[in-house]
Amino acid sequence: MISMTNKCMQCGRCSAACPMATEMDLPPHMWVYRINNGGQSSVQQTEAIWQCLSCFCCEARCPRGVKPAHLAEEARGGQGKFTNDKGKLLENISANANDKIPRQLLVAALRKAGEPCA
Amino acid sequence: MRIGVFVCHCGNNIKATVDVALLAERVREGFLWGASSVSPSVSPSVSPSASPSVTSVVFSADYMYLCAEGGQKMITDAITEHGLEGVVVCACSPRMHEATFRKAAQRAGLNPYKLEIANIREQCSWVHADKKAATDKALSLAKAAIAKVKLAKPLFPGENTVEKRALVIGGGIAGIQAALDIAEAGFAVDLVEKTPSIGGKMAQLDKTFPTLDCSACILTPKMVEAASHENITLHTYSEVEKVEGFVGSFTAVIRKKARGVNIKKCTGCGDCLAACPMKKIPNEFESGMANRTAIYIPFAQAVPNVPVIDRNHCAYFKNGKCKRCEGACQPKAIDFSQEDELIAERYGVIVAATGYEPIALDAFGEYGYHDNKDVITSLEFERLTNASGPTGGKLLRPSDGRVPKRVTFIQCVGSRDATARGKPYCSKVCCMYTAKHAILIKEKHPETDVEVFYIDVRTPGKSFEEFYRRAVEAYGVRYIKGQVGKVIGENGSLRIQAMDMLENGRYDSVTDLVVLAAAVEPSADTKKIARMLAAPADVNGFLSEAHPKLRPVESATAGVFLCGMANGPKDIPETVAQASAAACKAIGILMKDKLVTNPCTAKADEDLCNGCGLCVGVCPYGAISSEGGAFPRVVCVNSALCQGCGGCAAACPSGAMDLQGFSHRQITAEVDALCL
Amino acid sequence: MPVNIVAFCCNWCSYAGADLAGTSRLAYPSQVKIIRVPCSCRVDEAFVLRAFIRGADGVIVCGCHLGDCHYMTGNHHTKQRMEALFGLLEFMGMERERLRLEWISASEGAKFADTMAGFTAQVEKLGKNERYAGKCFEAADAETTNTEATDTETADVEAMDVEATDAETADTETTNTKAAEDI
Repeated sequence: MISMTNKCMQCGRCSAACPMATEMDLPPHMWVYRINNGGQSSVQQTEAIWQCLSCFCCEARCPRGVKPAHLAEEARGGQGKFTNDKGKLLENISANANDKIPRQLLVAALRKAGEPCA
Repeated sequence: MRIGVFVCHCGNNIKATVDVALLAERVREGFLWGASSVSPSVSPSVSPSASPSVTSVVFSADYMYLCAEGGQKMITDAITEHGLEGVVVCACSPRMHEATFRKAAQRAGLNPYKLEIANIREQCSWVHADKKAATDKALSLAKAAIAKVKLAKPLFPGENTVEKRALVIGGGIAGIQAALDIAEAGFAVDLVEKTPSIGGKMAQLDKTFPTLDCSACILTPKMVEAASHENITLHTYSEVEKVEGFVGSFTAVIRKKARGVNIKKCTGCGDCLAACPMKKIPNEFESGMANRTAIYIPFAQAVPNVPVIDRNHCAYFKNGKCKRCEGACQPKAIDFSQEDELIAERYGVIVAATGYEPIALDAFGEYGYHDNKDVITSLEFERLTNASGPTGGKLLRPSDGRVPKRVTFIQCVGSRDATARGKPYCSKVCCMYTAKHAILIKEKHPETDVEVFYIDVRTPGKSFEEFYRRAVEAYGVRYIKGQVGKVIGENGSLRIQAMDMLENGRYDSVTDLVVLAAAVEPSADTKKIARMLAAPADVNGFLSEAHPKLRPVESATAGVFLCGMANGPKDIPETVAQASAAACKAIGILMKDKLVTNPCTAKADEDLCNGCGLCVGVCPYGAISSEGGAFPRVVCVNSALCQGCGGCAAACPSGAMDLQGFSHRQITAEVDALCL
Repeated sequence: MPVNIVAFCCNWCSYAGADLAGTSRLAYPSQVKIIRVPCSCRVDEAFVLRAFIRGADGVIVCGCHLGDCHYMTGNHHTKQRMEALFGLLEFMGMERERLRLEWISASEGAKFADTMAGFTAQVEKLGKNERYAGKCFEAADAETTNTEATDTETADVEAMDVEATDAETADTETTNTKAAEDI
């Protein structure tokens, strides 16, 4: 997942399309930039990854096939509990759904279970 | 057979890793299949061979630089002196000096195809450090070459005559320029254009960067010149249907579509246009920004200035009655009974200049191109700002005819887009024409605000950077690094949701007109033409050059030349330069009366062929057929068409087909020599 | 005994790729020996099998990338032919890893060197090709009078076997005369 961040050419279409970018402390193109430059942990510290709605608008607009929403989810997942493997994801949710899991993460995971919207 | 082996030191390039003296010594040992395993007893001296049928290396030597004059002389002298019947040169890659050495052999009276190269530089000394291993390998390669040359037959290149006529496909600026240059050199040219007029995309443009010359003013004289040139035959409203043959002797079938108007009688007065009741047909030349009639002249300066009846929209062809244009036409040029005409002509060379189209924007819904009239493409903007365009050159919004207060340009719409909806390449011209558009707006309406969203501004060209900076510095065009995520139509204006990447913040603005720099792609027919010409195209559909650096205007198919956007994104000066280069290359062939053909072609043994026809299906050039041979079903190869790939030879189950210069026996002998 | 590898390279892409590996001084094992063919589609299955019975431990066929063939469709035929050959090798009881088909362009010098190093290592792991090396060859010698062979390719190969092994024997004169006639 990380390796595809180097395809980014910083055009900003992801952030321009993002419905939450104005609220975010770090807009999507900057997650990509930071992760590509080894700043995964700093991305995990941001509020932005919790503000991401997983609407996948950024991914639909990206001309390079980079997946900012997936990166945010990975950052949210922290230890990588939630992979983008669909079947595994639902299994994990039912097993791990409790108060400690932020609602945002569950919503994102459920959305991911279906096809990403364009 | 008396064979001579020559080992090159290449200065230290080979000598440093391969023991050249030892190599020259050991190639003389034994017989063909290696000294160690077969016969340790053969004398390594220069020996007159015992019997003419016994193959032996009767001469071997090493030399500092074989490709130098002294080295070549050494080879030619040895051939004459020792009566060599085959030569092996152990040196650099055959891709480098095979031709050099073969010419030298020919000078000494040896058939050039009786000389083989053992590549002991690129594929030995340069890639292996261990001297013993490298020397062993070099010996092995030399023995393989000896084994191959032993079975080599003298080959003689054939000849075919050159038809002194050129076919240029595409009547845009590339095709016009190529046709004019070839015609000027004194050769007949047929210029085939699909649309009713030559001129292509350049005729649609307003001004040209970076000089702001009026496009039509510099193009129309060329169009007229092409039409009136005694050596050029124009076939407008025509398409190439079929191409057969090979360099020097192509045959093309051209379909001249029925115009419905007799070109010879028509005076171009335009009375028929006024009479036509079908007036609401989108005008292609105006990029759909204006309407035309069913009988129409594409644009005012069209060449030929003769209308054409659009049969899909003509009331007579649709409903069987109308013919008002016929009544209006005084010279009686209208001819509803006209039918498509097929003409077949022979050509020596073909120039493909099939041009480009902007991509369809259906996949880019976020820009609202189909939803808002005020979101237009750059080509539409060209018409909007053109004095001969639908607004007479006034910058007016398509929706309400108002002068826009703010115009927003979006770059890289589909360009540099690695996903399925775009193109991975840079379209090359957008940065510059956008700067041009911005300047044109500012010149007409200095008060109009112009903003450009870009990823990178690319201006590698003469005076390009200065032109772009002029837009910024002298005209105050605002360049914003970032892209637009969404264009929303709102109360008669357009709301832009974008990113300012340098500010690192969202940039939202309200604008009146959005211009999209759509990526370019090869024109729709390029694929069809490429297949007809057997000319390879790249993954994006652009026609490929034979070599990207050293043969930039030639196709891999001999006799087919490329120019203009059909070969890849490029601007007008580059297109013209390439067109002239292609013409020059084409003239090079047309000047010759006869062409020498590659003798390494396939050859069928009539006695062995069982007529299965497998080879016919494998041949990409249609060079193999069973027609015209002495026996039914037995195939023969047209050596002028054959390019020598050898696919047929490998496909042949009965061993009848063989490739000269790379025969079964030669390759088998090489395998044997390498394996021992 | 190091393994012996025969590489068939098409003139336009892979052979040029090998040259580029040379000009870039990218080393690869010296047991790899290249035979130049105009197109990978020139590589008859018989050449590959011949290499194996002559003692090659690995054979690699290299062509232009699919779609980039200088002869337009040549490498597609190669692909089909080699796929069939893989099956045949397995049927013969030979490890299919001894044969490889690879697309290497003229600009991929590094890929050429890497591929050759990788393939050599792979073949080294399999060891010497002892199952077929020389076997059929002896059989062919024993049956040189076999006139039943309808496949002229086989007949041709056999003729060469005779020539190769008996070259220095008393039969030299006649064999070579025969060969000379063929030429």
